[in-house]
This record gives sequence, structure tokens and C-alpha cells, in this order.
Amino acid sequence: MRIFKPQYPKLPDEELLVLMAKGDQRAFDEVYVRYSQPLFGYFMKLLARDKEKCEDMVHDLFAKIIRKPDYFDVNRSFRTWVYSVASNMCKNEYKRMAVRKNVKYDIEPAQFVQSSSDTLKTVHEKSFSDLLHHELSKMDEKHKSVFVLRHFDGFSMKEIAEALEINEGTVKSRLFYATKFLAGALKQFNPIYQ
Amino acid sequence: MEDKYLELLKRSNFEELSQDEKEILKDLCTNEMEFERAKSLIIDLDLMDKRTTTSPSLDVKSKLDAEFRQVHAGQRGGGWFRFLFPPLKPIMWRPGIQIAMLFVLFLGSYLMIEFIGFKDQNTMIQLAQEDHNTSQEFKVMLSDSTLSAPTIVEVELVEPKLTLQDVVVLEVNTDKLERSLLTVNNHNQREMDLVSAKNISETVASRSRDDFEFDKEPILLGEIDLEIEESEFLIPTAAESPDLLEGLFVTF
Repeated sequence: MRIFKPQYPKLPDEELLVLMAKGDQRAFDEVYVRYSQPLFGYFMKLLARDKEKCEDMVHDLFAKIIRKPDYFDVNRSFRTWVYSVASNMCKNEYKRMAVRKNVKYDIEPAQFVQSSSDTLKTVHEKSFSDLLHHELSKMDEKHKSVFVLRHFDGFSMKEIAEALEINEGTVKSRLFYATKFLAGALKQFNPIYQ
Repeated sequence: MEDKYLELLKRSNFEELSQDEKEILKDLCTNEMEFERAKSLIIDLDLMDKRTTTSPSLDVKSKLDAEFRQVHAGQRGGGWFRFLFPPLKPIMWRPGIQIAMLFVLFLGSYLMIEFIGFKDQNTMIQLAQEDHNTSQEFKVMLSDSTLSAPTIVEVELVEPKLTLQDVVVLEVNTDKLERSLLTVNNHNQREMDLVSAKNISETVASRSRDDFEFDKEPILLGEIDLEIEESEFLIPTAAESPDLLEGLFVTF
């Protein structure tokens, strides 16, 4: 039995999940603070930056955790597990979109670079970001997912392998393919070619 | 180790790469142009990564909070149930499951003792008895009035199927051997009954002949030359023919 209240920000994810499953609202808040933003970003990158859809996905994912905490495999790290769930949700969404045949690959107005300065650097970064997302949306899901997890969410290759349930060799191969593809597509941002 | 390619891309020029380093990057870039493109991408990604801070709207959180309260409101009052079956614990670690397993263990043990245990005990006793019977040597003391010392007649049971019930052990007194009756039933299965008429005639009378059935060879009574009749015959007394007792060694 705990004498003092737990220091939520210091608790590991897995312990927070246990507390959350017991009905601890603060544990849920902490989990949400830790993962809502990265997961939202992940969905945004994988789902053509459809903000409403991505918010729905985040909502659905956390609702699953609330309603069925038993789904979490205690032998795994929560971080890789929650991304594997997110990845599967994206795959399902891709299938749904393929059925509807209304996949949108058009660039929507950027919403996440809120810079007050209008310097050349900011413009460069904004345009780089826009084009990167545009090119990401052209890639197939399996390469895109590996690239996003590695470069946006900071996963190691081992964690990516665990989250996507593939082997590390495949991760490396997909990652290099995606990097090469994007490097070719974004070559105009290379100072040498400007 | 896995991030070696990133370090190489950020810090090196293609010309400076060793052969081993080029080997690491061979799937990513094979010439200087590809190397520079990849390098530029990685650097721009690092810069961009810090600025892309997006969050879902507050509406999402408020919906989830409401859902959380709704789910856990229903669980209030189920304290014992939640203690016995806490979520997120492996099934075998849940107290409820462990208690159930203990119950099954005790119940199973009780049932084993009650039924299977007794059966085993009875079987063991029966087996021990059979074993004892097959290896037992039967000694028949013959105290003939004509003999100075009692003669020991050893009857060794060879047939493993013989049991104590099948062979009647005779402690024969020559005085009472006048009308010893040895019945050999040699029908289809070549059966034999060995009966002592005087001592156990009553027993013989009460027993059915089936109790004395043997599957195999009839019992041979050593060197005693018995004339086997179909039903029964008389053994002459030792007094009439003492030579019968010489070297009397009966083996089954």
C-alpha cells in the first residue's frame, strides 16, 4: 500500500497504466500528456494531415486504452505497444480509404508552424515541411511508418521492429529506402543545388 | 551502432568515408550526390523536428475524461472483484485465479484420496497376496506312524496363476490319510482338484468345482504314481505301501 501519493510525472508508463486501469484519473492525465501529442503527430504524418480524422484517431486510441486496459501486454513496453496500435489503426484507415477511393494526397494549408517572424529561414523550413509531408503522403504506408517513427518519434530500430512487428533488417531496409526516396524528392532544399 | 549511418551523414563528407563506412551506407547512397542529398535531408529533419508541435484539440481530452469517468464510475463498489481480478495483471497472477486453482487442487486431492487411493490400496494388497502365493512353498508334514521322524513334503507352486484359493494346503496326518481324496478333473481344460477328504471335505462340498479350475498343466505329484481316473480315486495309506513316501517330492 502506498503511503504517499505517487509522483505521476516520474512514474513509468506501465505503472501509470496500472493506476489508470484502477480508475486513477491523474494517471490517465499523465499518460495523455505524454502520448497525445506524439500520437497526433504520427497520425498527421501518416494520414495526409487530416486534422479531424487524426483527432478522431487519437480519441479512439485512448478510448480503447480506457475501456480495455487488458489489451495492453504487460510484457511489452507501453511506448512500442501504443505505437503498434496506432500503426494498425493507420493500416485499417488506409484500407478504408482504398475502398472509398477518395484518398487525398493534396497538400492542405500548413497548420503547425506558427512562427511570428517572416524570415527566409522560416519560409525555408515551412516549405521544406510542406513538401516533406507531401512526399511522405506519396509513399506507401510501410515505408512511411518506419521513417516517421525513426525521425519524428525518435524510435530506435529495435523499437520500430517491435512496434511494427517486423525484423530489424526489414526496418533498416525500409528506412534506407524511404530516406533515399525523400532525399531525391527534396533535393531542391540541398544548398548545393540552390 | 544502428545510428552510425546518421553520424556519418551529419559529420562526414563522402570523400572522407572509409571503405567500411561506405559499406554501411551502400544501401542509402553510393555516390557523392546521393550522399549530399541524404545529408541535407537528415539535417533539415533535425531542424524541423523541434518546431512541429501539434496537439489534438481540448475537445478530445474532455470527451476522453467523460468517457474515463463513465467507465470507472461503474466499477465503484466492486472492490472485492477488482481485488480478485485486477486488470493488467497476467492471468496466473490474479488472486481470484490463484484461489480457484488452490480450490481445484484441494478438491482433486480429496477425490483422489477418496476413490482412486482406496482402489490403489486394494489393488496393491491383492497383488501382494498373489505374489506371496506364487512364491510360497507349501510344506506338508506327514507324520506317519511307521516313520520315526516326520517327512517333509515340499510342494512348490510353479504355476503363477495359482492362488491360495485354488490349492488347498494339506497338513496331512498319515492316520487321517486313509481316505484322502484327490480329485482330478481332466475334462477339456485338464483341470485338477486336490482335495483332502477328511480335513476339508466340508469345504470341498461347499465349493463349486469352478473354483479349482486351472488353465494349464495338471499338477504332477512327483514320483507318486497315481492312476488318474475320470472322477476320483483313493490314495492308498502309507501303511499299506510305505515305498510311496520315499523321496516324495511333489512339484506343481
